[in-house]
Amino acid sequence: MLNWRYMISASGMIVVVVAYFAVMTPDRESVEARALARQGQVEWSTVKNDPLVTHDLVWSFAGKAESGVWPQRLIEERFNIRLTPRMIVSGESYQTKLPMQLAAGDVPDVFNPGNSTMLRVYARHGFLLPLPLSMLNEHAPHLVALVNRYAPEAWSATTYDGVNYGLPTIWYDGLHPRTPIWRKDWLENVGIERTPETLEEMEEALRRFRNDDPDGNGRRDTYGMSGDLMNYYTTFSEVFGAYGVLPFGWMVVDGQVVWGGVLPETREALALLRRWYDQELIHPDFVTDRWYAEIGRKLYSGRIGYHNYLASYEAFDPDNPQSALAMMRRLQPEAELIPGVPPRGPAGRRGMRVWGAGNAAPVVFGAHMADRPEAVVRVLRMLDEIASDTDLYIETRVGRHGQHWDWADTSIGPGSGAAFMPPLDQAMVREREGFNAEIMLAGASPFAPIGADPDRYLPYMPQALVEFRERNRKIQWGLRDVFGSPGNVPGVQSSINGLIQLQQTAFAKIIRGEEPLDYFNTFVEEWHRQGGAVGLELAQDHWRKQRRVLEEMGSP
Amino acid sequence: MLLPGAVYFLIFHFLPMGGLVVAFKDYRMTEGIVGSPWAGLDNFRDLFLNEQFPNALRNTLVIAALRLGLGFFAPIILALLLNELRVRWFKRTVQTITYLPFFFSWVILGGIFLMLFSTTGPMNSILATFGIDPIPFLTSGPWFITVLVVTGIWQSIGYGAVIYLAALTGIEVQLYEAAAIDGAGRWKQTRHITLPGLTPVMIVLFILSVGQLLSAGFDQIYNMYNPLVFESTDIIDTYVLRQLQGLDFGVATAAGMFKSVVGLMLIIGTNALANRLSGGEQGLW
Repeated sequence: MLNWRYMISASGMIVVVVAYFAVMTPDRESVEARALARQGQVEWSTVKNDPLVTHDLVWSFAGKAESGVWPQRLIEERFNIRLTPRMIVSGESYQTKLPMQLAAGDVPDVFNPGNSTMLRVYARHGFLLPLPLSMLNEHAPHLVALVNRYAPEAWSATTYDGVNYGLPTIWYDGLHPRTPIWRKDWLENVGIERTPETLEEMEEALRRFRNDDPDGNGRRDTYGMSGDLMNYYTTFSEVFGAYGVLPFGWMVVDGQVVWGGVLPETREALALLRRWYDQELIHPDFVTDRWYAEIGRKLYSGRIGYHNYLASYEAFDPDNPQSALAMMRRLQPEAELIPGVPPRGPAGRRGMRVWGAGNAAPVVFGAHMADRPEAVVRVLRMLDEIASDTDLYIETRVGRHGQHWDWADTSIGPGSGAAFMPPLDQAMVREREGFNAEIMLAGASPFAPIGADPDRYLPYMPQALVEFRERNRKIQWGLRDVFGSPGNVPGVQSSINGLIQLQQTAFAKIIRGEEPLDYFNTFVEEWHRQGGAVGLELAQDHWRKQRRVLEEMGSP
Repeated sequence: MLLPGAVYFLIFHFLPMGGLVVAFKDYRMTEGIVGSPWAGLDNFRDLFLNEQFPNALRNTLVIAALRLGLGFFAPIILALLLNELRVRWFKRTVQTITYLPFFFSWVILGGIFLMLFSTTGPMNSILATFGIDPIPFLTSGPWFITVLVVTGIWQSIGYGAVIYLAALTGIEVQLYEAAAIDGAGRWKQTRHITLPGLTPVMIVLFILSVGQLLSAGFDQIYNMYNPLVFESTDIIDTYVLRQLQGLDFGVATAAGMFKSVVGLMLIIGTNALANRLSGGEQGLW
């Protein structure tokens, strides 16, 4: 039976515990100072950049760079700053270590928040310094122009509660879609000479893959394609794109923000996919398959002859053991892969989802930097100068020609691409020495966490890679969410994941024929009722605000 | 002698409970637990007043009840069977093999089961040789829950059996000898000596597992579910994960508190029931 004396003493204990926490009151003044800093009460226009003053900065970005390495000294000497690098290994540990470090009160001066979700979280918790766009425009005009040109939607990812907190990093490769790849030998075996260009040609190829025994084993055991419903950014993206829609994203149609998943064109695409599934062109496991795992395995083991999310220059590199081609050859030595194009739809449209150039991690400042506005301005001007000085930009990423890197093929020179010289040709050494593990000339590097205009670094990349991208991953095929990603609209964060799940379930049921095509209308009603209608209003409002901000900055 | 234990529980178990106030606050890390503004019941409102919550709660209870109902007896049966084995190396081998899956993470097991139970996977291929049409193990709600429960039992059966095997060694051998002299067969010995001997352990484990009723196995479900079974396998944990946009401690604490309070009530209730049924002898306290 219940022992009431025990219960009373236990609850008494809890009261004591709560009282203990109440006594541990934090310093009132520091709370207020931080609250003030959050409101951004720095008179930025009066802040001067005195190049003779040395600024000390705690610097936290993704990587394994040690202290005092070459790229660090390069920018320290040139810009008269002193850095205390506190690098955090990128990936999962970034998501666990950084929050703990911040919660313990150890906020770096300049750092990378990981991603836009975490940026909002840190801003909400008061860790970040507001960076008004007018101030950024004054002290980092090149970088602001770069963002406005390549990824104006990135400002949605750095804004929390109407205030901007970050400087977006431009990742040019993100504008290029990961296009489909086909089994070239299968296409030949079923008598198709040209990679499919339109939805009809694609359907015909998939049908022959299913019915005409492309692997010649005498059994009807092959399918055309599979799909990934769990990772919405790949879900039959090329098929929806052929109807001009981004099914899991915010789009602008006739000046209005709409959600792609509830448009009539989405219904048309679903009708086609439903027919393909009914004709067994789509593998029956598509609901549980994931693009990076099961779909890849199905392609490599010869169950399907098409993958919609693989094409990149690296995928066709036979020397790289992780490339799609190498994985395929290990199981099927005679197999050949060929990059395809997103199929053209009935109205002549084609496209696939891209994350855009603004999805990389932005640069943010700790809220305490409100007390050191000169240091903030110094860093912004420094980053802006790195982005607008080609030699400096290249040096911060790959070092000096002849000292750290040389042309991959010295007999060709430029065009073969920059390659690290020993011992930097070892990825581990490179990372320790403050360079990127991969020769990534676009996007961030540990000591210069910004991007630059591609014209500055394309000459240093292998021309084969640049050409592959221009030929097979054309920018104009990319379909972008107008806010970068579904959750970047303020106020939708608590409902958007549920709405996406609702849509994934409806899509799966319609494609598999478990529900009639008219079930789409039921789904659309349900979507609006469960928060979609509110989300649309919020998105429309956010779109208007973002437009106004961009117009004030003189962006097209 | 009690002091070190008491201090341990005070510091590591009772003091942190003060953190529960976060459930009633709009928690900001920069301002600390005390400095953050009060939110009243807003966090609980966010948690409960979403129309997906009742469904998540129902799914949690259904899946957890199935796990408890079927999974509770499985290790007992395995332990009894193992106990009857006379060949020691065989017994140990079986024990090791059944214990092994307990150490695998669901990230790995999930991938293996997705492959095993897919429409064209090994399981359906075997069924096909008997002329049985493919079974939608992963895409129909009831089948998927069956797979969840069965693979869940498979994973933890060895661990449970070890506890019962330990309890079995505590039963006096003389009892079996006396029963054998009186002419009791294997089955009668099991029924009248082994099972009553195991009852105290069974009741303790049952009371403890009832307290976990609102945890329906997040790791397993999250690694195995898909859009077609969201509706029937969306449990409280997956629901909370979806609600959270990272570090929203208030709602997460409210969810944890809700689960703990319900778990505590269930444990107290089950214990009271055990006491009532056994005349005050078999409860935990």
